[in-house]
Amino acid sequence: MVTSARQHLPERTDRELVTAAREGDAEAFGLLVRRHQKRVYRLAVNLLKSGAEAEDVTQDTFVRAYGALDRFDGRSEPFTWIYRICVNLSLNALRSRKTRRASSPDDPRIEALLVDNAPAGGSPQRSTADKQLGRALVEGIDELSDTLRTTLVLVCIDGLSHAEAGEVLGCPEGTVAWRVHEARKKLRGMLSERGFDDDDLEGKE
Amino acid sequence: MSEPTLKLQRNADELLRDLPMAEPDLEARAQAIAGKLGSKPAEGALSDDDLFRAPELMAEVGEPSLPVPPSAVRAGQKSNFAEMARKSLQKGEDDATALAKELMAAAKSRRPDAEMVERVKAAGRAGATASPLPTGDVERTSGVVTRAEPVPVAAAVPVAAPASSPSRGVSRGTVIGIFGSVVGIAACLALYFKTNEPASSPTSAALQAEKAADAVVAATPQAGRPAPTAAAKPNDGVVSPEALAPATEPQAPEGEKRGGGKAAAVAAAPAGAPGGSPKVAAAAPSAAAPKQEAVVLEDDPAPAQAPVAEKKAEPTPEPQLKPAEGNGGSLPISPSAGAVSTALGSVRSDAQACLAGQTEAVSASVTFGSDGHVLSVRASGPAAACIQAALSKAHVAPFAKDSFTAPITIRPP
Repeated sequence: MVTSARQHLPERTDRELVTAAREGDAEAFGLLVRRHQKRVYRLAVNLLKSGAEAEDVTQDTFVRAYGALDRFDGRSEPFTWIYRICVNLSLNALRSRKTRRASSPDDPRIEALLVDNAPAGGSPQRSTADKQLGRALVEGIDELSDTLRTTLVLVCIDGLSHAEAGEVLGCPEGTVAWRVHEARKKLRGMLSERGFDDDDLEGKE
Repeated sequence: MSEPTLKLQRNADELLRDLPMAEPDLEARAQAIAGKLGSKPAEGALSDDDLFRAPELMAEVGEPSLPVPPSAVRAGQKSNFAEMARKSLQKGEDDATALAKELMAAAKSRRPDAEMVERVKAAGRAGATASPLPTGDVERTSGVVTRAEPVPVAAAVPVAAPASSPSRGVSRGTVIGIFGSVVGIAACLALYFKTNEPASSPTSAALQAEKAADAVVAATPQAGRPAPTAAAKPNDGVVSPEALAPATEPQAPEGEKRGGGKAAAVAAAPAGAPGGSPKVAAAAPSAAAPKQEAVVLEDDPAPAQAPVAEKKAEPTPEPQLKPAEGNGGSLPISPSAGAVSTALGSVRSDAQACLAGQTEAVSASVTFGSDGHVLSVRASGPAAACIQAALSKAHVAPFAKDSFTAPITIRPP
């Protein structure tokens, strides 16, 4: 079943899968889940900073989307519609927390940085520098406000265009662009505070 | 994905794009999701409406097109709206009051102005018309005539009053409006006559020229012909003594009765012209000469006397043109102090200009005739003639007395 579904991936668009799912084709919706599951999970992780919560939100996102397929009006792309559900569920989860949580070992991003996955031909010094930079980046992202963080994740990590991010967040492209610029500016400042200036990095090389 | 506008340090941009992340078994998770499709959401979960609407993200400081959450808007602006509403109501009341006042003021000032302009225009047309008027009594068609017409205008004021208060009871506003219109008309007429005064100078000069010509004609053997009537004489807009003579005839006794003395003597001189001998007719213009001499100062330099004589020649027929005769006893006995002060104040600057370069003040006295015009000016010093010419332009409203003399001190500017 999985194999047959993968065979159909290049052939059917998101809209077609949604239409088929509306007509009761659960397999079509399963294809949609596998197509966007990773991105939805990464988005949830960057917003929630927790792997376990991100898994729950990801699952909840698709379950709620499937239950509300009739409400999808087709004016936007299905994935932006699913992303919006994910963002709302993540923000709801964040607001449900009693205390704001810093990065924890449960954070899949930190987990990945702790794993020594340096390429065989790569410099160990460079790999260490990248891990340090990666950690600083994660900390910097987590220090951003929910607004800037959400926008930055959508655009700079998940690769949505400003228009697509605007559809997800319900704001103009200009606002998205401004938020991305502001987030990058703050991120740059945070990296500088942690000693990641261009000269130092070049010197470390 | 759009190009970043702000570069992060070194390879941070690449790292951000491929941020490493430990992923769960996605296939297992997908199967778990498939198993839960169609299940009901947990209790306390977001409703569908909240799930599909735009995420409520707080706007950043300085963010363009701030999508501030509605809750923040409600909390922050509730008091402001109430204050704005209160101020709007207050402003509306104030505006209504101010508007009512403005309308009242406009009713007072504007309506009479329009009528006044019409009347002034009509008076100007009547005064400047080149054709003789139907009745011989009103055949005086120069500015001299229009200058002496406050009576018809004053009589028209009651006509203007009903126009400003159509079919309503006489309210306080109406009374104020009528009063305002009367004051406005009077002020405008005063201005109009004052501005027309220079126009009367050519008339006076032409009058003098005609007088001189008449004197020459009277000296010829054909001077015995009867004086032409005003109707027979083509009217070129200039009043000649001949044209005025018949008109003044019936008024002579009236002038005698009212003014007596000097005014009556002046009026009697042209009155005898038609029936008299050529010599008498020739004497008519010369009869005015003693009157002119009365305003000439002994110490005036000779060249300065000519314009003064011109000025003084003009008032000669004016006792017959006085509007006071038709106005009964409504005229004041003498001009008020304010009127005299205003009249002299209007010409004071011209008189002061005569003393430019001098240091000593000059005392003068101005004698007004009952028609309000200057009969004579007495002044002393080298600039007396100049001062006399300047002060003789003063004008007050007509009054009942024969004359009224007011002292004035002219100081160098």
